Amino acid sequence: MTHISLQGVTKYFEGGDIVANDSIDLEVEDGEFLVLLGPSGCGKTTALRLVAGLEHPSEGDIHFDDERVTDHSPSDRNVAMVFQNYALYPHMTVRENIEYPLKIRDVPPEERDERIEETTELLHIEDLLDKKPAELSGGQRQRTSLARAIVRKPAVFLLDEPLSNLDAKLRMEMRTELKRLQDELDVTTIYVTHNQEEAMSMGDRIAVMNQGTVRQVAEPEELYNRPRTTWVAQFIGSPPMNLIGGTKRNGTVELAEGTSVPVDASSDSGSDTDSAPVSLGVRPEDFSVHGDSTDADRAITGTVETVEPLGEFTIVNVDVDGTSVKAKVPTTGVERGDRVHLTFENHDAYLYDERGELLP
Amino acid sequence: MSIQETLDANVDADVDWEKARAILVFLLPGLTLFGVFSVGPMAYSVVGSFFAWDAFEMGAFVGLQNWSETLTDPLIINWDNLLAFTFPMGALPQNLLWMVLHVPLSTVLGLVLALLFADLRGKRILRSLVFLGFTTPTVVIGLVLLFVYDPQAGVFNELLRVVGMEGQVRNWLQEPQIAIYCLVAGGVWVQTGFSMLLYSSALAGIDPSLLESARIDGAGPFRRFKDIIWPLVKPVTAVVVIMGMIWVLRIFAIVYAAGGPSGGPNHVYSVLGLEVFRAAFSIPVEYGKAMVVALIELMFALPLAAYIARMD
Amino acid sequence: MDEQHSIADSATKTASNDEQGLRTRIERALPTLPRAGRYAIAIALALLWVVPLIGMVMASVRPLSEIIDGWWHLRGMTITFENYREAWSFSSAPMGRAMLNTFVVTVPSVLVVTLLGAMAAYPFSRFEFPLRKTLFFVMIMVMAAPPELVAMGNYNTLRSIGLFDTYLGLILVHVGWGMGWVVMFLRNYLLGLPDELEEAARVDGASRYQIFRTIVLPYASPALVSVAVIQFTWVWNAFFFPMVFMRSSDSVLAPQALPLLKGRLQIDWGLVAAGSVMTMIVPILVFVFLQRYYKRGMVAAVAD
Ligand SMILES: Nc1ncnc2c1ncn2[C@@H]1O[C@H](COP(=O)(O)OP(=O)(O)OP(=O)(O)O)[C@@H](O)[C@H]1O
Ligand SMILES: [Mg+2]
Repeated sequence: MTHISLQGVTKYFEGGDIVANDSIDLEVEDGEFLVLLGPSGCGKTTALRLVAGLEHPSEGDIHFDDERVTDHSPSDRNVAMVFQNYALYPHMTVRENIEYPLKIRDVPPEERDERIEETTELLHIEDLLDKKPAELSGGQRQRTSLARAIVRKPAVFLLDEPLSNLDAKLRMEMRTELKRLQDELDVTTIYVTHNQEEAMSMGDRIAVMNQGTVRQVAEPEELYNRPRTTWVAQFIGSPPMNLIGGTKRNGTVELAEGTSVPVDASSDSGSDTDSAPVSLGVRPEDFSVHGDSTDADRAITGTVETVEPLGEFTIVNVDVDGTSVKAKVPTTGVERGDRVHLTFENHDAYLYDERGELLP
Repeated sequence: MSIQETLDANVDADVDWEKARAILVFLLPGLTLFGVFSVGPMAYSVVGSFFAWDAFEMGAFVGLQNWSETLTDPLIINWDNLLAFTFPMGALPQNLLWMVLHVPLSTVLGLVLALLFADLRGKRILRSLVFLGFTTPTVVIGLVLLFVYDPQAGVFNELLRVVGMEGQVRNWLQEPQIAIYCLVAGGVWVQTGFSMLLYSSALAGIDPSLLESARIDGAGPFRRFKDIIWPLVKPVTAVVVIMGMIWVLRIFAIVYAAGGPSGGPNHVYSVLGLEVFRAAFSIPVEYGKAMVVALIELMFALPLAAYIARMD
Repeated sequence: MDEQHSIADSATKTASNDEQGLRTRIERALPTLPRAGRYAIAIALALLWVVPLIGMVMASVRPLSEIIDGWWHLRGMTITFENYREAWSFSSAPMGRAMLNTFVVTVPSVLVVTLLGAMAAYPFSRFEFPLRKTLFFVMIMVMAAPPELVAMGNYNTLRSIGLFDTYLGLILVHVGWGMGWVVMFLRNYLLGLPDELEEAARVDGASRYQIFRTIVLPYASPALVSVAVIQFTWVWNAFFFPMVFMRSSDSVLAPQALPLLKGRLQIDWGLVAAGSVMTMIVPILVFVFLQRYYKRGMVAAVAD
């Protein structure tokens, strides 16, 4: 229904002292579920509020389809927003809350009733209509707030960490339900979160933000498999990807301690004799831990510092010449102080240059 | 870049137009009335205090003449009597004397009553009884005081008779050297209800477990008051004191009802408000003097206003 | 409320230790000597505080001769409402007319200042605009300033626009004078209105005015009631402004009429008392009916 496009959108606060968003370019496809993911304070909420029209960009433009909406007020944009703390009107009942946007838009009463009924059935809150927000549980408030957004049939849904105030179980439930709703309604949605699990499981695509800029926009798979920068690589995945400094020379990466690891020579575009400092990135879950010596091509040797059994899997912290490297393995027989070899496959290794960009 | 920025700033200003108009629509009606009937007249008094007045008509600029005349007017300050401490001393010293007595007494009494009632059953009724006076119109307070101090029908003189001080019975509000204290007592009677109420709500906010743990630590009632209760009710004291001072500065109806527009026999308990009223609205009309006296009142109120503004 | 909690709290605490709990409970039921003493002192003081008012009520229902003998003599007491009847239609200052006048002035003064004050308080609590700080201080200054200060200017204003000695004139003065504290009070309350509610309403499509009407006003309703009650009491009881701006005997207000009931030679205490009771009963009734809200307002005023 609506394609959203941000072009070079920048937002300053306090006369330019704070740059909350720094020339963001972002395309959200019609009917897409796009997640804005990033650490606290990176400017996700600001970006969302810019799309909603609650803030106006200091620079750049926002388009809905072909229409420039940069200067439109929120009421002229036909967006619906779900706030982190739900922002239900405390003096209105659930019904009045849901009815409010319709009333403001002069929807005739019969149609209002119809749409309220439809929406509340969809969200299973038919029985709560006469209660005040103060009498509702967190999940019920959440649903009411969603209902208020849905009932309008908006062109765009904006959700700002809508699940963060819920307990873990309810959060899982609502995650599924939200995703189902969005599929059903097929409304272009921007969803803000700092929880990467949530982002990975819900988003059609994820835009990773840091310090006011978008670092990478990609589908969840790709984001995990081809993080374009060390920052994204370390942000996605838990525990974060290991980065080990070294020098790339002649198709191998020489790490400290004299270990060298062969990397795919085919991608080596530079001359063979050139050497360059690089970081070798391997995700903890891509390591295997071997107590005895191994004949694998790619192995790093170190001493076990700690072993943290976490039930499903175990985290082994290995000291590799002063760098702490984590391996996430199903089971292990190693103990603190053991010499171990960490092996990995070629396609699980990432090389980043000095600036933190992924080498092809 | 800088051109771009100015352009953006203009766009921003454009966008905010709708908001600016809304702000104006909200502010304008209220602020207009506020300006015309409060701020305007105040400014008028400030300016007018430097001009000559022919009844209600403003005349020529006279500089500080109104001020010097007013400050040497025995009705405002009677220096001779003030030095001898005999009434009438003039409205300004009398008003200040009233404040000096009234504020500490009503504050302390309010706190004492609040503490006394704090953990008694039926404290709500007790409090209402004490607070009732504060809700009474001040003009009624004045009339009630007139009644209380009446030589025949007054309950105060009856009390003297009962305790055998028959010889002291008199019309207390006609006694030049004593009358003002009798009125101050009446003011304290009223204001104590107010300060008691404020202190009570502050005391209700004290976590009882604090007091219990202090008791377990072996703190006696005095220590408990000094170490726990007082620090917590201290902020309320500022409010009580300021409200009390403003109350005394504005005092008018009590004095008028008890002693008429002259403020008792030979003005012995006249106050500033009364002098403004008489100067401005009785013959001969002295608008300049009225404005000066009102401004003197304002000068005492301004530090209080500054204090309130800082508290915010 | 709070005290009840604390009593309940300490009760549960002591109940955990059975023996001590029983003892405490007995102690509570049978006041110890110091406790009984405190009750006696407290009750005595509270009664002492209302003696003058009791005297007034007594005087209002007794004939003058009995009052002069002392209202505290209860023997042979005659109860009569003659004083009320007489005060109601007293020739030079009929309380009936005066009460009506007071009512006609008070109700619009309260309603207008509450509405306009709420409107002005809203931008003060939310937006930045030029002169905001200055206006803010001016309002506080007016809150502390004596009403005498505006009497001269307003007298001339009302004369020149022909509203002197009219209801409307006095109403305007009251509204202008009350605006300062009403705006400050409501602004403090509105600071508690979460920004998201307003933003949600904006996204829902509401205009600024719709937000004010449908979100801000309902949210502020407890504070509005407090403001209305306090302002009602203040305007109803006001003495100085009516004295200055209402002169003809037809337009005299109730507080203004009371000193006139004194009569010439011997003060007719019965009339004065009956008039006083009539006058003061009205705000007390308003208090009692809206006590719940008023209390909250007092607390908010103190929290200031
Ligand atoms: N109205 C404002 N005035 C000044 N600074 C602001 C304002 N709004 C946001 N900021 C600043 O802009 C930056 C980005 O804030 P934003 O709320 O967009 O972060 P966020 O990514 O949503 O963080 P979180 O996950 O904690 O909600 C922060 O440094 C914040 O302090
Ligand atoms: Mg945020």
